[in-house]
Amino acid sequence: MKTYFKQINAAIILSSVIAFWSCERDIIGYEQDARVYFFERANDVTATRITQRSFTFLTLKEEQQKDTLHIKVKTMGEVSANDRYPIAKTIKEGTTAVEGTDYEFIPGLVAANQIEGYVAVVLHRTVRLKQETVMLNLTIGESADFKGGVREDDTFSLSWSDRLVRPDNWPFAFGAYSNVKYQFVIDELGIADYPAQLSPRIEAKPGEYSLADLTDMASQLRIRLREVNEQNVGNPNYPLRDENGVLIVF
Amino acid sequence: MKGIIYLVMGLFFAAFTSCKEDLGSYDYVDTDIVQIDTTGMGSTYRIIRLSNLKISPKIRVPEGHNGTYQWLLYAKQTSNNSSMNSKEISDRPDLDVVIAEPIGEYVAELIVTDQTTGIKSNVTFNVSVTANMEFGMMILYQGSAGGDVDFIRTPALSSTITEKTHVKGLYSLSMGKPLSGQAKFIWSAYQAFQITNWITLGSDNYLARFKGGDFTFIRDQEDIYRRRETEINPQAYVYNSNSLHVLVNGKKLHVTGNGFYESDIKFPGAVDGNYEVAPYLVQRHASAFSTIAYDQKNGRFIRYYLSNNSIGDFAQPTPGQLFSLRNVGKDMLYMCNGASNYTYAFFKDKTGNGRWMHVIDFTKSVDGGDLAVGMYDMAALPEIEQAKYYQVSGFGGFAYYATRDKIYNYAYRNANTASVAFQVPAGEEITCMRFYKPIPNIRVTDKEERVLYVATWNGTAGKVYELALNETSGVISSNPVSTFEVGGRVVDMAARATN
Repeated sequence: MKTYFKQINAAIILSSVIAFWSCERDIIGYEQDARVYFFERANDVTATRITQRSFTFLTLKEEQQKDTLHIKVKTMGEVSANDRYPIAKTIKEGTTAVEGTDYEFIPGLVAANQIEGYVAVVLHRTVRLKQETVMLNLTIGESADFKGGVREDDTFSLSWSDRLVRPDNWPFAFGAYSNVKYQFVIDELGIADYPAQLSPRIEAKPGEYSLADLTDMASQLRIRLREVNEQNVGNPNYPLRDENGVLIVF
Repeated sequence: MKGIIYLVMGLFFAAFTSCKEDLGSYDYVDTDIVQIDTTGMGSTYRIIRLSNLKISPKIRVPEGHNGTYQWLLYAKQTSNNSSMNSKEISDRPDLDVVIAEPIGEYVAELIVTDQTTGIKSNVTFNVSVTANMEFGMMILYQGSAGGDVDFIRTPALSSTITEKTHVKGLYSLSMGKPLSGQAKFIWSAYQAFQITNWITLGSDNYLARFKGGDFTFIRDQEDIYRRRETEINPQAYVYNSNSLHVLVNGKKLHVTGNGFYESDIKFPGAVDGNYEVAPYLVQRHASAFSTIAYDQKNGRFIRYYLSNNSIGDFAQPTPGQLFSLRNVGKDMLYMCNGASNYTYAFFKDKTGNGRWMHVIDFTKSVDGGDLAVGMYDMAALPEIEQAKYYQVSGFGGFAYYATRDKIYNYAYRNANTASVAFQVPAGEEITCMRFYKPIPNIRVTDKEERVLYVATWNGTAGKVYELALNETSGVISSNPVSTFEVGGRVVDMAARATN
């Protein structure tokens, strides 16, 4: 009799499973507030996350006293038919720049029907930048349109200065570093930073340089240096010498 | 308990009674449908990319009905995840269209719709698109609408070629429009086991790189120069035996090395220096001379230094040298490689009617001031002042020079005389002359320089003659092996080869 009941129970359970199997639950959409997260990615095969960026005022004219940096963000939630305005805010820990003096936040933009946009930071060219590099750690602030999004992408660091500091990516093709040489490069090319092309399999973005690019720049600088030296024959410190009196060559 | 048993039995009964055969009570009427007969046609078509795909099935549309036709082409599905975007390629019953898709496997589908009944019939064919550009001759010409490229293959070019083919308009088929500016040059660069397998072509305001395998566009204009501010004015290009891509642009040298990725092989800024090079480059020389060129402005040969992107003079000549490479003092008319891989340079005097052929051994690994090998006075040769095009044999002691309508065989090594080797038909003017000199030549050493291509123009139409010749004497057969009609005035021709 027990066996008989077991078989009946099994039949009923099986029927129930089959019956309920057909009821598929609707996928729940994103129902939280609209959010954004930092979305700076490297131009390599795996699109590596970028969490910091440096800036120098050296490539700008002296009269330009501030510049606006845009940091890319990506939205969570539905797109909107209207423009939306994310904003960043300071993380006090580790920040040496002073809000209102060294920088200020202004609203960024996620354009209508877009899922990517930027937050904006206005950097001020203060006198202290001639002596030191300041640091700002920031995160997503709360605005009428957005809150902070993905935790792994909610912090970003900016550093900036107005002085000659040997960049980490000083090109081998330019030879030995000196402040005078660096200033010459900036004056001639208008470029102060030399990030390497991360993967030659992917076309370099503007502002990324392959070894061949840097070699070509060195060739260009060699010609310009010769011309500048010829134009300044007889002037003090020409042919151009660095701060240690060593002849500049490329 | 009994209730449960009745419930289960009831469920089974309901389940089985719901299956009931539909016996139907319809009236059936036979509807005549479109018939597509492919008997004897085969189901797979192999074509060379950028050539015409022709399929003509027999189609029978019911009497009194009208049919509409739609030919679709889509990539053959190779996995469950493949997406297949179809493309309508014709609305005619007989298919005859140029296929510009990349190399691959495709399906061509014909759908015939009976407009009277709305019933559709279809049939599919497998289409294998190949390039088959291993060996052949690329023809660059200037047509009325712009420049373009044809590709010809004949049994004279490789033992693997069994029939003559002529693919027309490769450039415009790939790019959707003809080449802008005045066409200047075309060159096939190939290196085994390396990425280099490209065709480079240029006009006076345009430079582009295509895949050698199927003439698919890679990059052009600012994307091929490292400095975007460069004024684009290409005049000559060669991929030389030192694996350097050498470009003459605006009378200046631009040299780029080979690399692991195509995207980083771009022309840097012009080589520094007080020079203006003639638009002629040679492919073969010793690695010690990264590149050699002729400085037309200062009448000298120059060598290139890759290490610092600069040029320099050759060494002072040793006593007994026939001429100084540092001071030739003449205007270059043409330069190419020839016998012994020497460099053969044709000159005219800056004043007067003097014509010269200088021979230099740039294959020596050291410049000891002894590179000048020969200097031939050509002034007494027939019609030499009218010579426009030159070629030098790699086998015999002869060279060709072409005037408006004649090709002279110049026996420079023995007698320093020339005789007419070929004359083009009346009314035609020679516009280009090239040996079939493929690089690499590994699989075609028995074909290399056995044919000469001569292009003509009669004011309205262009032709290319394939001429058979004796590779040691230079004697040309009087009747062309093949003749090709091209859509303009030919300005350059180059062999295409792989290994």
